[in-house]
Amino acid sequence: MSEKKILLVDDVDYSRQLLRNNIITIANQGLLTQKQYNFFNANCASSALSLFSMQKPDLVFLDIELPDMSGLELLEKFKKTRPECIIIMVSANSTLSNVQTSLKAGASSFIVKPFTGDKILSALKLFEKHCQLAVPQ
Amino acid sequence: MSENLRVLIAEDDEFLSALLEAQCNSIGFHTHVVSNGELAVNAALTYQYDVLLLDIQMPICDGIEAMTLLRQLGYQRPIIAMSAEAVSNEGFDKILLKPLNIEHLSQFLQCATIEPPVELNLSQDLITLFYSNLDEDISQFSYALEQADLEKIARIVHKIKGGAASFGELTLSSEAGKLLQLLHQQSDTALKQRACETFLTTMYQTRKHADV
Repeated sequence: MSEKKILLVDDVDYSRQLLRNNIITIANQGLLTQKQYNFFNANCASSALSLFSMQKPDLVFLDIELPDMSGLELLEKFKKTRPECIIIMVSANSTLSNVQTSLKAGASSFIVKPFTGDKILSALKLFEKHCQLAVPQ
Repeated sequence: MSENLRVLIAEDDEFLSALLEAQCNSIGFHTHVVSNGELAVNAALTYQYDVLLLDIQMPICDGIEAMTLLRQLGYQRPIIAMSAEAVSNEGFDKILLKPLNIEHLSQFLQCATIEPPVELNLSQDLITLFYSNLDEDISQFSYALEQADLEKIARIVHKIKGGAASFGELTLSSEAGKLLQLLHQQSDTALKQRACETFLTTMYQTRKHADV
């Protein structure tokens, strides 16, 4: 099975690290079909845009609050360039309008911080569903 | 296996929600009550519950809308509808008719497969990284407070609100949430300033008690 590319966009370094560690842990626990991931890190929108264009990630975890651009604006740019890319929005604020706006703009899901193992697993399972991969029982 | 389950109850009728909460507590469930579908979506996305109990008719966002949105987002935990009338069970794991019979709920949960939560993996390196960030945040917060730069303060507090709870610093995260609310209100600057000073103390105390 080919390696999947994940782009982590968050200006907080421990948030990116936490996501990366836990995606690897969940994959190693056998909870996912996909085992191999390749990670790319961006701490701002401009770095994210450049990595998105060069690396063509399959999945993006995108924080809404970035220093140089709103994550929602970045989401629109990503979906316009590569609509097939799965984007999971991440935020410390879960207003219903934020969630609905994100979905309308093409996000597949929305994780509210603080991170938990369940939230990360749900997002990854949704990603696999979108990829039409069978998840083992 | 249903003891100690964490249950979210979304019910706009205060009497019914209090009754249901008492019934759930009597059989060992831990409960959190909200009064509309919007709050239910927020809570389900923010906290970790084993099961959601959603009333169908609620203000702002009803139980079906809330369930549909959560399922669209990939929410996998059981969602139970509570309704006075028959409704389609698509997306729900169970429909319970009101008035709710707590034994029916208990029986359903005894038979339901409720997966244990997936533990968050926090390595020592990651914990160290969090607290070194917090040191930097304290320093930047102090400076921003001296400069009365409330915009910068709000950015730091927002970061802490999102990060601290993942590392078990629940008080710090909760106080950050309260301060953010205040900072976004049109209240007077002196009040905000005092709240920021209190929060700075909380940050120092958190750092002092952390064994890192």
